[in-house]
Formats: sequence, structure tokens, C-alpha cells
Amino acid sequence: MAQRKKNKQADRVEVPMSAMIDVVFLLLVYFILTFKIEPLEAHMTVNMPSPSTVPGQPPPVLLEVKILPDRYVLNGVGLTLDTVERTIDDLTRDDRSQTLIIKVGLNAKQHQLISLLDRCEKLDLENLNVLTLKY
Amino acid sequence: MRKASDLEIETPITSMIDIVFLLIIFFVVTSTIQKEAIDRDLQLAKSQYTDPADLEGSKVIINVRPGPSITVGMQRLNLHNLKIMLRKLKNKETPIVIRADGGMTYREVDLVMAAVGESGMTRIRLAASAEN
Repeated sequence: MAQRKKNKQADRVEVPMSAMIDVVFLLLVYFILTFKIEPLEAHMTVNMPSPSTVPGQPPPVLLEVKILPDRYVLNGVGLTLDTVERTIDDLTRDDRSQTLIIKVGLNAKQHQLISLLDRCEKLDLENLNVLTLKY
Repeated sequence: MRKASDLEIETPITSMIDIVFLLIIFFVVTSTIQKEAIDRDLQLAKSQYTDPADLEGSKVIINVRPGPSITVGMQRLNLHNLKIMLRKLKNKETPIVIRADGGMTYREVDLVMAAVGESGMTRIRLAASAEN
């Protein structure tokens, strides 16, 4: 009688584990498949010209860099990216809040613009205006 | 007598598994749609000095591939529809992130930037990859 009672108790605590494990495995597979590492991205702030078509005041003389397909032009002189960075660094050493106008040629590549903006970020320049050259 | 006690502890596992399957299918379908605001196949230009930005928060992410082919939250848009969509935004200060492929010519990016500017949005950001 005592033996029979023991058996009965052993039956009672039995839980069907295999089905539960199946479900847990499915959940695990689901989370493994959907897990994606967030890509690291930098978002660079630029100013755009006003959408108004009314011609405004001509802009004052400011630092101006042109981006052409094969080179950067700073105040009329064709330069490499490193030289542009050094020159801008020298010119803005006293005042990092100076406005830099970046004129991008239509045939220039997007990565040229991004590289220049990245260097400006390195120099802590904040006022970056991007305009389009119509050639 | 013993049979009766066996029946007592039995739980209907099969129907529970059915429900769990349904839940899994639900999460699979909904989560993929939410995550694809970013076009992961785009080759963004690399940045070395700019701090990584927070991808969360309220902002409009515009993916631009050569063409230009524009997608916002998995939806393909042309320039006209993009302008209409942006004009509907009440808060003109909402940041607009333009994720353009690094190898594209600026001619194509300019079309998108001009459309964003014309729709009255003032805060434009250009995305670059901050991974080394």
C-alpha cells in the first residue's frame, strides 16, 4: 500500500517537457533569425537654401569650397581633401562658427561630399551650407 | 483508480502549441516590417570623425539608390509623391535623414534634397556609415 502511494506521487509530478522544449527551441530560433546588429551611422547636419524663389541679398564673402568630380576647389585653387582640411583649419582657427559654403557639382560623387562634411565635423565647424552648382 | 488520476494531471499541450505557433507567425510578420526603415543594402560613404547618431526617435529616413530610386519605410516613392508626403508633416522641424549611396553622383542626391527643401522641411541630415 505504501509502495503504491509513492508511485502515485511520482506520476503526479511528471510534466510533458518535450513539447515545451520544442516551443522554446522555436522561440530561440525565431530570436536568432530576427536578431540584427544596429548599423553605426553618422548624421551630418547641413543647411539648405530657402525654397523661396525671390532673389535675396547677395551673400557676404565667406569660405567657399567647390566639389568637382576629381578635386576640391577652395577660393579658386584646386586642392586635395587633406589640403582643404588644413587650409580651412588655418582660416577658421579663431572662429569655428564661421560659415562654410560647400558648392557641389552635379557630377561629383556623394562620398566626396560626405568626406568633406566629415572633415568639417573633425574641425568642429557648425555652419555648413550646401549648395548645388548647376554644371 | 490509477487511470483517473492520470487523466487529472494531463494538460492540453497541443492547443497551447497551436497558439504559440500563431504568436510566432504574428511576430515574424510584424517585426520585419517595422525594422526596414533602413535599406541595409545601401553602401553609405564612410565617416571617420563624426559621432554615431541615434537611429531611434522621430525622424523621416529617406533611402536613395542610384536612379534615383527613393524608399521611405519600404515604400517606393517618386519625387512628386515624396514632396506630397513631406508636405503633410505638420512639424517642419522633423529631422530628415537622407541615406544616399556613396557612389551616386550628386546630381541624383540633389533632386531629393531639392524636393525636401521645396516641401518646407528645414532640418536635413546626410547619413554616412560610422563603422570602421
